[in-house]
Amino acid sequence: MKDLIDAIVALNEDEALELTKSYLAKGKSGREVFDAYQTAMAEIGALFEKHEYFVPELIMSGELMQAASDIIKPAMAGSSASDEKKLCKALVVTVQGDIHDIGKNIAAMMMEIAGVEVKDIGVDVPADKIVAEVKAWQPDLLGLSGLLTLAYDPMKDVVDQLTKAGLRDKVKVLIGGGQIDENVRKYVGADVFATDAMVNVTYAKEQFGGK
Amino acid sequence: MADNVQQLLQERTARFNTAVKLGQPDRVPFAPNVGGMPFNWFGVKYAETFQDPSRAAYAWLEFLKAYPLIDARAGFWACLPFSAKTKQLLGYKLLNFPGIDIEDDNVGFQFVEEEYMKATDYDAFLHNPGDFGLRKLLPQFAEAFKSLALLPNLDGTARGYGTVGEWCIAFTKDELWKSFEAFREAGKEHLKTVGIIRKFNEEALALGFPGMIQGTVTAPFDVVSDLLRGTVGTMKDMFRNGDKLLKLIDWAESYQAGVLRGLKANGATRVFFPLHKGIDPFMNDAQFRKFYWPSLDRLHKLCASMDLTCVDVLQHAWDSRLEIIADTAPGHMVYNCEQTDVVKAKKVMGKSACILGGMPLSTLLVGSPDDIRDQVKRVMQEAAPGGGFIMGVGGSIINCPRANFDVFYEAVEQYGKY
Repeated sequence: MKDLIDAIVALNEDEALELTKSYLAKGKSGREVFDAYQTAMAEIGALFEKHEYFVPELIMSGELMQAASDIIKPAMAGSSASDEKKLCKALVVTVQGDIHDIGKNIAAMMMEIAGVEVKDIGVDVPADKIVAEVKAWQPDLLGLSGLLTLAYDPMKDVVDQLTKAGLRDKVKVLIGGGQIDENVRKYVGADVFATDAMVNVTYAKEQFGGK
Repeated sequence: MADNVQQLLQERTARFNTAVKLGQPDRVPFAPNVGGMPFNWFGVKYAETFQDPSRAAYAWLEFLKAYPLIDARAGFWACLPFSAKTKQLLGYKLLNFPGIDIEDDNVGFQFVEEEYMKATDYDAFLHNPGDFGLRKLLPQFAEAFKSLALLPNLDGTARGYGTVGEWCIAFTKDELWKSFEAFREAGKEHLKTVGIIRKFNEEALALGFPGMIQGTVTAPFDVVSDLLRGTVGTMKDMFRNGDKLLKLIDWAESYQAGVLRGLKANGATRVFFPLHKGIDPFMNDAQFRKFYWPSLDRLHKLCASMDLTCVDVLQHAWDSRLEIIADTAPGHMVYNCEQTDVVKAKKVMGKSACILGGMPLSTLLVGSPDDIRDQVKRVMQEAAPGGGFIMGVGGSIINCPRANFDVFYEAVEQYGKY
C-alpha cells in the first residue's frame, strides 16, 4: 500500500481517501489499512521534526486521519484501534487564567494518533481540579498548557499541589506553550517542556514505549 | 518645568527616532512593552481596571514617574479595549475579561477565537464583505448585535423604491430598537473610557513621556486567521481553498490600507503591527511567501511612502523569516523580537530595520538577578553597537515581580551606554 502511504504523507486528501476505499473493496482488512495510516503518520511526524512539515500539515493529517477512520471503522469491527493497548495515559489541560486551546488540542491530537489515551479537561482549569483529576484518572503523563506568561504560576501551583498530595512521583509533568523554555521548566518543577506538538509524542514514546 | 518637559519629550523622541533611522543615539533607547505590569505594583487588580479604567491610568502614571529611563510608553493600549460595563451592555463575546469570564481576577483580557466565518462562506463574504460583516459576523460577536441579522441584505439598497418597504418593515421589529438602545448606552459608556485614555495620554506627555505608537493595524492574513476563519480553519484553507483565501487576504489588505491612511490623516507617526500567525511553526517558507508576507510587505511599503514607521511585533519565533522580511521598508521598520534572538536579528536585518527587544519574558519573570543582568550585558555588547537598536522585552508583560524589573532597569542604565 505504498501508494496509499505516499498519498497520506503528501496530504493528497482525495487520492488517499479513494485509495482507502479501493483497498478495502479489494479485500484488505481494516487493520491493514489502518496500519498504513499509522506508518504514514509516523512519517509525517518525522517530517515535522525535520522542519519540513509544520503545524498546518499536522492539522491536515489529523483531518485526513479522521475522515479515514470513518471509512475504516466499519471494516474494523472486533479489532478497532481503541481496543489496542495504549502507549500511556495522558491528561491534558490549559491551566487557570488562560483560555487558549489550540496548542493543547494539536498536542492531544498528535498523542492520540501515536497511540496515547488522551483525556482533555479543557481550559482555565484551577489547580485543585487538575490534581483531583490526576488522583482519580491516574494518568502517566500530565500536559499543562498555557499560551501566556500568566500560566507560569498556575503551572507551578499544580506541581506544588501534586507534591503535597503525594502524587508527583506517579506522573510525568510536561509543560507547553508560547512562552515556555528551560527557565520556566525549572521554575515550575516540570519534567520536560515543549514548544511543539511532537515533543509530547517523542517523550511519551521514550518514557512509556517499553511499558 | 514646561521647558524641561518639552526638552524631555524631544530628547526621548529623538533617541527613539535616531534608532529607527538606524543611527546611534546618545544612549541605547529603552522602550519595554510593560502592558499591565504596573497595576499590581500600585495596588490595582486587572479586574478593577475594567470596572474603573482610571485605576489603570493611575498605576501607569505612578510607574512612569518611578522609571524615567523609559523613552517611549508601550503597552497601555493593550490593557484596556473598553470597560466591563461596555462589555456587559453589549453582551460582547470576542474578549474574555478577568473576574467576569475568567475566574482569575488578576490577568489581562483574552481573545475568544472561533470560526466565525465558515469555509463555505467565502463566496458570500467576497460578494459583499459589508453585508456579510453586518448581518452574519456582528450578530455572533455580541448579544446586542444579534438583531442586526434581521436587517435586509445590503445588496438591495440599490434596488429603487422597493427598498423603502423592505427597510421600513425591517425597522418595525422591536429587537432592532433594543439593540440600538444598547449601542447608545454602550457608546456613552465607552466615551467615558476614551476620555480617560485621552486624559492619561495628556498626563503622560506632561510628565515628558511620548507614546510609542498612535494606532494599530492587523496583518491581512491575521485578519482572516484571528477573526474570520480562526487559526486552524485558515491552516486548512491554505490546502483546500487557497485561491479564495488569497482573495480574502486581498480584501483585508485594502481595508487595512484604509486604516493606515486614516491614521496618517490623524497625525500618527508610528503604527503597531502585532503579527500573530506568521510564526515559524505555523507555516513553511512557501506558505509564508504565498499567504502571509506579500500583503504585509505592501502595507509596510505604503507606510514608508507616507513616512509612517511600522512597529511590528514578531510574536513567538521568526528565525526562519528574517531574510525575507529584512528589507521591506528600510528606515521605517522596528521589529520587536519575542523569542527570536535580537543579536541574530540585528545581524541579519540590522542594515535596514531597527531591532527592539532583548529581554525574554521568561528570563525577566523567573530568571535569577544574574540571569537578567547577564542577558542585558550580552545584548548591549552584541546587538546595540552601531545603533539601530532599542532595548525592550520579548512580548507584553502581564505581571512581573518589581524586584526583577528593577534589576533589569538598573542593568539597562548601567550597560546601555554608547
